[in-house]
Amino acid sequence: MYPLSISNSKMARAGYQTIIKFLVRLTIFALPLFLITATIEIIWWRAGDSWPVKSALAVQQRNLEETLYGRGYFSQQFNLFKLAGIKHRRPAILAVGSSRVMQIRDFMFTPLEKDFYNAGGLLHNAYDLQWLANAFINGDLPMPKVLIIGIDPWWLRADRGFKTWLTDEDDAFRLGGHIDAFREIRKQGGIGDLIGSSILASKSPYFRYYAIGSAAKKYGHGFRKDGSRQYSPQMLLDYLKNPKYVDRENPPIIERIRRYRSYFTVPVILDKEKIQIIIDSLSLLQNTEIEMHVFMPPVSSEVLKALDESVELSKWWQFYKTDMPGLLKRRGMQVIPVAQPAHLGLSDLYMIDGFHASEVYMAQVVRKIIENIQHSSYLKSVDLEKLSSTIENAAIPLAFEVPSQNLTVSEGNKRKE
Amino acid sequence: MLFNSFDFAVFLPVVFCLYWLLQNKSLRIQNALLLAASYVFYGWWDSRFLSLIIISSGVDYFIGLFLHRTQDGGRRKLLLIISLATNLGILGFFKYYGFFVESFVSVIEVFGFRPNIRTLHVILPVGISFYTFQTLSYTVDIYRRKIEPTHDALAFFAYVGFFPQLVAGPIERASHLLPQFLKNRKFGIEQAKDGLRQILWGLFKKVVIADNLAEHVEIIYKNYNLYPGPVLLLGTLYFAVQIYCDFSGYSDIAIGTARLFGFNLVRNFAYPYFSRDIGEFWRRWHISLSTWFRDYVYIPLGGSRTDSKVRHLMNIIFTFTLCGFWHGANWTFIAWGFLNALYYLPFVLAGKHKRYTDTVALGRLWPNYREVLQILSTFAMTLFAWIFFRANSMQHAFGFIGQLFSSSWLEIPTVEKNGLLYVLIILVVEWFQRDKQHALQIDKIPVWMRWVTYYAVLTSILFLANTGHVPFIYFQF
Repeated sequence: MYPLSISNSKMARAGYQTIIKFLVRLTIFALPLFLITATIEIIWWRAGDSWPVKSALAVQQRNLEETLYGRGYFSQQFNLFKLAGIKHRRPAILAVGSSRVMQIRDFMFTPLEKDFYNAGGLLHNAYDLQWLANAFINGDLPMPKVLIIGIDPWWLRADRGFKTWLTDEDDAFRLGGHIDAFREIRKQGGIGDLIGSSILASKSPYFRYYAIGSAAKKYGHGFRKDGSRQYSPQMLLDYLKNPKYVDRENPPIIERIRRYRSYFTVPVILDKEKIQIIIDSLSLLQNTEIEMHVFMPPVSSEVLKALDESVELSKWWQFYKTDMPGLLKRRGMQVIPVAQPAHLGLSDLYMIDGFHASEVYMAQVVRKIIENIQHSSYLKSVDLEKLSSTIENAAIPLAFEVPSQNLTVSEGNKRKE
Repeated sequence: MLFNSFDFAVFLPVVFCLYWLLQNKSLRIQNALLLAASYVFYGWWDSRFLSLIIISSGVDYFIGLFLHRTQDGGRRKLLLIISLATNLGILGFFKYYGFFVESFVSVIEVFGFRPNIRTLHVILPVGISFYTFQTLSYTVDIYRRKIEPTHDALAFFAYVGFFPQLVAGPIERASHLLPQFLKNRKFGIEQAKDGLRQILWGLFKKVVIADNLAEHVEIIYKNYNLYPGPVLLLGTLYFAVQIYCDFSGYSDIAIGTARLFGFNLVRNFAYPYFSRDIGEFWRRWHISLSTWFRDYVYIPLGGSRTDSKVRHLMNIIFTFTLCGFWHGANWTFIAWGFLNALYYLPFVLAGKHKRYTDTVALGRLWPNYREVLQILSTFAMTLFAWIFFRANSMQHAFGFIGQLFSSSWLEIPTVEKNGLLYVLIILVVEWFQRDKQHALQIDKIPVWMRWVTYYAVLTSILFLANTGHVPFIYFQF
């Protein structure tokens, strides 16, 4: 037995040595890759980009001062962030829809501002709305007292939106999410830019909000605590220098319509199943105790004209603009149809781009909703006079407040020192 | 757990280190670790369905022992029937119940009846078609007295549940893989290095080639009525490459992973798109499945050793069609299998179905004209068959084919052309490596060139991989 033991022990040592040799070689091979990856991951973590959305939201909501959340390299994942927001804040007044409702803000509902949360960006398609309705009914999400829902035209298209995206995985936990973020570094100007903007800054430029995520730190845009979106302060400064309407999307919405790109590809097939899902989901919500206000978010006058006149898109657009509100009204729902600025006595200066109204514009939409509420409405205590006065005192058509002029991003950053 | 996930990137090194740390403790402990790791790997998806693997393993383990002990022909047959009924029963219920009920209802409705039969929405457990075939082969081989049963339950359960090949093969025979669980495994540095190379190449095929092509295929097949013939042809070409890279990529990762643990799995793909006839294609495509059907369906039916030529041809048709049906509970898969049988029959009748067993143009850089024609014609036939495989229904398949041949083929596709680059990459690389076990088998070139190649593949994964969630196609089978 003894010699055999020695032999076994020698063999064991030889075996381990081979494995160690292999692991050492593998480590040498992988070391450069590992170092680069580790460095970048540390920077992302420091910036707040790779924080799981639930953690980021919890920190944001815990902060007493205004805190912006905006990932720059990782996918923004509005859906998960807003879902987490609804669960955390349990709002009595909830705005939902795509990015086109993100400009509704809490102070528009004074004195109920604490009750409000903007979940704009949550819904992408009809299946998201269906998922949301079921989540309220099943108790998976806290049911609000008032629900303001914005509906988009592309929800009705057969070739867009095949499933809900509300069940996505957080990119912070997904290998693919990290790879995508890595690719963004190259697109956004390299590693130096990432370090400069993400590690050195802790507050957003200009408005100097506490910031989580490199986009919030670098450009000063992201979600506020009430869920509404702070657009880039630079955009507001540009407006101050040159106060005229510009379609700021890239490429502009009007160009997409003219060239049949993005949401406006042709041919358009209206999807009856999706239309039915939207109607059924809204009906389901209407049968609960929720006070529901449906609206078709505003568009710029040039976009409205282009869509009205487009032969290829008109059938779809007219159905969305006219038939859809009619169908919903017939089911007893409160619906505000598609508006252009002129309908409210405004101009395209109140539009951020062809499809996104400014917060000043959205305040007027909110005022319109509140003016039409019934006596039993939860919104009856909203101070309409204050809202009107806030609208009148807006700094510019695009925003209620603007950063100090004559500041560049870097100067804004230095100021915090 | 998916091979191309963050979870697996952590899971694999942890299990690897633990496994080799235990190499001198006891074989049983090492096997126990593999079994536990395999069940964690599977349970990551849905732990409820682990019970099916345990039932399947347990039944065949005991039946194997009983079969060996008894000499009574009747009892042996009964034991075999119990094993078949259990495994095929599980497979039939989870995979084919809905299909049979719906098909039955459709037939009844033709005669004017409106039966009130409920269909259950049964979740298809991942990998069920693979591990049931694996355990079945064990019992059948013992019944045929080709192998002896193992008394080591741990080794047997670890063999059935072995995580690298559990959910999508290769389908391993007990005669090949089980003995590897019964003897000490030694760590071989060359074997491990080649295993890593194969994993890397499999990952590249999956996340760069297959997943990027998947998006084009999805768009073209979904909106086929909007596109002219050349675009549909492009879509089918993409699908042919997608399914090859998706499945052979999985097999490469599985084989490479097994090699890290000192196991050798059977080869599953051998550059099938360079085949010169359909017989060669089937010797190179999903080898572990086609040989399984040959040994456990075709030969028991009588194979080619029947007096009647018609019976022989019927055996071929039945085997191919059943093989198609194995892929999924849909008439499209049956049609795909049947079509392949039709392709194969003329070669059998001419006695030329086993002509090519070597590598095409071996020792030459390029094939000759005859070989080019043979490869292209075989590829064209498989392309046509893939339409059925990819279509959601027979109606979809016929609609697609109708549109494919309804417009001019002289047009150059104006959309969805970007995928051609991926097709070109895979065809060129695999052509030059076609005599190797896998395309990244580059152990003969200088070290610095190897490292450059590895980094090139890694970088292309980093910058070109489709990072969306695209599951392996064969998980649904």
